[in-house]
Amino acid sequence: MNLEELLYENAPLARDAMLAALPAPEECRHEFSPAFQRKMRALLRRQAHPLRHRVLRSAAAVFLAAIVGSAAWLAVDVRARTAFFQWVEEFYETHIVYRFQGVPAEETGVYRPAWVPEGYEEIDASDSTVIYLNENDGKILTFAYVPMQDGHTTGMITESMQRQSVEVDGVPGDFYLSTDSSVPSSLIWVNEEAGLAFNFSGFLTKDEFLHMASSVMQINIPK
Amino acid sequence: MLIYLQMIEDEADRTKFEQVYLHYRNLMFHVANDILNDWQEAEDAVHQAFIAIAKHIDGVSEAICPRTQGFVVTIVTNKAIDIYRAKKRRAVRPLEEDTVKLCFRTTGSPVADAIARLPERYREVILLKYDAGYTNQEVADLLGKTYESIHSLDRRAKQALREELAKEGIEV
Repeated sequence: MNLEELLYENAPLARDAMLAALPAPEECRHEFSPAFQRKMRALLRRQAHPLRHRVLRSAAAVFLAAIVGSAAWLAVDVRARTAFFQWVEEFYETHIVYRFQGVPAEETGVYRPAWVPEGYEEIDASDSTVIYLNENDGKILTFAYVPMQDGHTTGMITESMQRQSVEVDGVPGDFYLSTDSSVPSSLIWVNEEAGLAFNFSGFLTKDEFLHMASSVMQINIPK
Repeated sequence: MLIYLQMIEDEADRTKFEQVYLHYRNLMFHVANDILNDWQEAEDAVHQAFIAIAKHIDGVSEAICPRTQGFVVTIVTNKAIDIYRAKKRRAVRPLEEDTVKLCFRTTGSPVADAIARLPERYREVILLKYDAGYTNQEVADLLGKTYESIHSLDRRAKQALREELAKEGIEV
């Protein structure tokens, strides 16, 4: 018998040996803290919604970083946004692509908003993406950022969106106001100094988006 | 964002996840608290474990069964040990390594007993792959590691197992 066969045969026995040394589930008792129960309610609630559909519908506002070959893009209009051409917007019929150029800092640190609207709680996070859930209405709010690096792009589907130019602490950005109640609005702005493009996407007012954006700060220092 | 695309989509999987949660949460806390000896950190470990489990609930064929119980215990043990190691790195004085040891009953099978004697990082990969039935990529995702590191751990786990079995006079 080879090792693979032995493992398939014996791993369940090892598992049973591990479980035999533990109490039965029904013998264990613990009063979980309100904070834990709140987080688990959010997780369970998240499962109770057809999230895949919702997220795909939210593709209009999905801040999706992708590395693509330039030949794949057929821009109908390209407008340089900065004198240094660190990022450009490419306008298409149904979407806008933000294409980044340049070499970012090797490590960018971690950024988070210091303020989010009441009712929203963080339910998931990686370094560059945070997902918040409003337990009251089940609405999702996302915060994400990507480095402005050669070949990196992010897109915004513009169907059902009204695009407005805004400023986030003096930095120009684009606010996409959704005209479809099932599609979130979105805010994109680029911090050239940090070499990062930021995005919020959610079911909030323009003022709330701008307030959150102003509160974004670096919460650790790059190594 | 991608995490949501992988989340539970159909009613059966949602029900399964809730069953797993309701049936095993106290046991998972017991396991985590045995390792961490800190109820708040143990709750964090249980929460992290459920986030990982939620993403791979479709790999759970039956909510309440020994295989699923082994799966959730393996995951929460991994999360608790991660928290323990992070705490150890922060500690001014080193913590006692032996508090992370888990108990196993002997099985009568030299191979199963050898699996039980493997270091935790090896054993969890073996159990997730060969008992719970997950792929290297899924194990990497469940444990918060890269595919390459799981591939390497799998290879080293098998080598360590061969060496353990050789001590018993079993060559594979």
